[in-house]
Amino acid sequence: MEVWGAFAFGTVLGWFLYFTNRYRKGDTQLSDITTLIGVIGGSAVTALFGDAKTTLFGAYGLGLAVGFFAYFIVLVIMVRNSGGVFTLTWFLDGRRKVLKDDEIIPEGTRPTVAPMAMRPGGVLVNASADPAFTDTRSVLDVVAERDTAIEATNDALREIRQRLGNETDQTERDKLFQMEDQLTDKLEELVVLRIRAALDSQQVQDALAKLKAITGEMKAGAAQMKNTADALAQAAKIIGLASKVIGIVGALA
Amino acid sequence: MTLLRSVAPYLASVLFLAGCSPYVYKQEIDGFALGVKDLATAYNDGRAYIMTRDLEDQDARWAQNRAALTITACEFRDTGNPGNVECVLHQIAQPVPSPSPLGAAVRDAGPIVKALSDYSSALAAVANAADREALTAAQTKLKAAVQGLANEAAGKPVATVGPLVDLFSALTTAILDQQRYAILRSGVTAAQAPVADLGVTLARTLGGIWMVRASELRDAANLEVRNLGSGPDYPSRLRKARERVAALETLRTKNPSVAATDLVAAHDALAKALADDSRQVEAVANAVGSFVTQAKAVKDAFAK
Repeated sequence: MEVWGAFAFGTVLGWFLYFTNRYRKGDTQLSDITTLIGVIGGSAVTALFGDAKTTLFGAYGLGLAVGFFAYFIVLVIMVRNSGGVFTLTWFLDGRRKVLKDDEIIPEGTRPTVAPMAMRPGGVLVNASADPAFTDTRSVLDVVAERDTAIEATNDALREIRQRLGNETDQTERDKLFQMEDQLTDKLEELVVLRIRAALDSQQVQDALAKLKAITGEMKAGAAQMKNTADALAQAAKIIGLASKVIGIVGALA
Repeated sequence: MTLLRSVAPYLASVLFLAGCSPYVYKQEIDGFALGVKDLATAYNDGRAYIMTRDLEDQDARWAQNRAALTITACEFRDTGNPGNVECVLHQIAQPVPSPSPLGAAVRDAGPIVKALSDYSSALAAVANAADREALTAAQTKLKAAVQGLANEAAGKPVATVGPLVDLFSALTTAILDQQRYAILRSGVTAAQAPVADLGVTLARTLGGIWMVRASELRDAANLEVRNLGSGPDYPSRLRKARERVAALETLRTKNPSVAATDLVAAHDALAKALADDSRQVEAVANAVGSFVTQAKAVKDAFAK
C-alpha cells in the first residue's frame, strides 16, 4: 500500500511538473535543475517516507517519470487528433495555424512553451492581423530607402555647385542655377516623404504609445516618492504641535 | 550611549544600502532632460520657420492675384472654451489654405517631441522627487520634534532619542533611494526601444528642416552674389553676401541629426549603467555631456 501511495504521489507531482514547465514565464536556466532537484528530491519529500526511505523513494521516482511522460503522451495524442489544426512541429517551435475568422483565443489564456522554443509565450491573437507580428523592422529600416534617395540628391547638388564654382559663362551659370533650384525642390519632396514614412509607420505609433505609458508610470512613482517626503514634514509638524499641547497641559496641571 | 552602540550596526548597514543607490545619476538625468528641452526648442523654432515660409508663399500668391479675403469665424467666449477655429485669413468662399506638405509633416511630428519631452521630465521628476535637501530638512525637523515630545512627555529633558530618529531617517532615505532606483531602472530599460525609434524620427524631422533651411539660405546668398554688379553699392552688397554665407556656414556645422542621435546614445548609456549598477558614471556623463552640447548648439542655430 505504501509503495503504491508513493508511486501515485510521484505521478501527480510528475504531471504537475510538466504542467508547470509548459506554462512557465521565464527563460530556461541551469539553476532550474537545482531548484527542481530541491523540490522533487529534497529533504521535504524524503522526510515523508520515514524509515522505508529507499523502497518508497524508488516508487516515488517511477511515479514521477510516469506522470511527467503521461502528460507529454496525452499532448501528442491530442495534437494527432486535432484534425490538422496542430502538427508535431508545435512541439519544436510552437508553430500553429492562423485562427479562422470565427475562431478566437480568449484574452488571458495562458501562453504555452514549446520544448524547443527560444523564449516562452506566443502570439495568442490572429497573427496575420497583428502588424507588430509581421513587421519587425526598426524606423531606421523604414527610412533607409528615403535616406539613400536624399543622399543621391545631395550628391547631385554638390556636383552642380562644384560646376558653378568653375563656370565663367553666364548662360551656363544660369542653367546651372536653374538645375540647382529644381534639385532643391526635389530634395524638399524627398524630405517630406521621409518624415511621412517614419511618422506613419507602425513602429513610431507603437513607440509613442509605449513611451506615453512608461511616462505615466514614472510620474506616478515620482508623486508617490514625493508624498513620502511630504508625510515626514507633516509628521514633524504634528509632533511639534503635540509637544506644545503637552507642555501647555503640563503647565496648567 | 548604549542605545547608540546597539543601533550603530543597523545604521551603518542602512547607510551602506543607501549609498549603493544611483542617486549619483541625478545630474546626468537633469542634463538629459535639458538636452531634450533644447531639441524641443529647436523643433519649435524650425516649425515656426516653416510656418512663416508657408504664410509668405501664400501672401505672395494672394498679392499676385489681388485675392479678395476674409477672416475665419473664430470666437471669443469667456466660458473657458475659445473653440477650435483659429483667427486666420482665407479667400472668400474658399477653405482656409492647408500648410505645405513639409509644414504638415513637421506639424505632425509634434506628438513625438511632446512624448520625448514628457518622458525626460518624468525621468527628472523621479530623480528629483523627495529631493535630498528637502528630505534632510524634513528629517531634521522630525528629529527635533520627537526630542521635544519626549522631553515634554517626561516633564524634563531626557536622554537623547536622536539615534532612533536617525535610524528611521536613514531607513526612509534608503527606501526612497531604492524606490527611485527601481523606477528609473525599469522605466529607462523599457524606454530604450521607443526612445531609439522616436529619436530616429526626430533626427529625420529636424534634419529635413535643417536641409530645407540651408537650401533657402543658400538661394538667398546666391542672389546676393549674383547681384553684386559693378556699381557703387558693390561694397554694401558684398557685406550682405558675406553675412549670408557666414550664417550658412554656422548652420552647416550644427547638424540636428547628430544631436538626436546623441540623445539615443545618452539614453542607452544611462540604461546600461542602471541595468548593471556598476557606477558607470563617467560613460553616462560623457554621453550626456556630448548630447547637451550638441542640443544647445542646434537650439542656437535654429533660433531666429
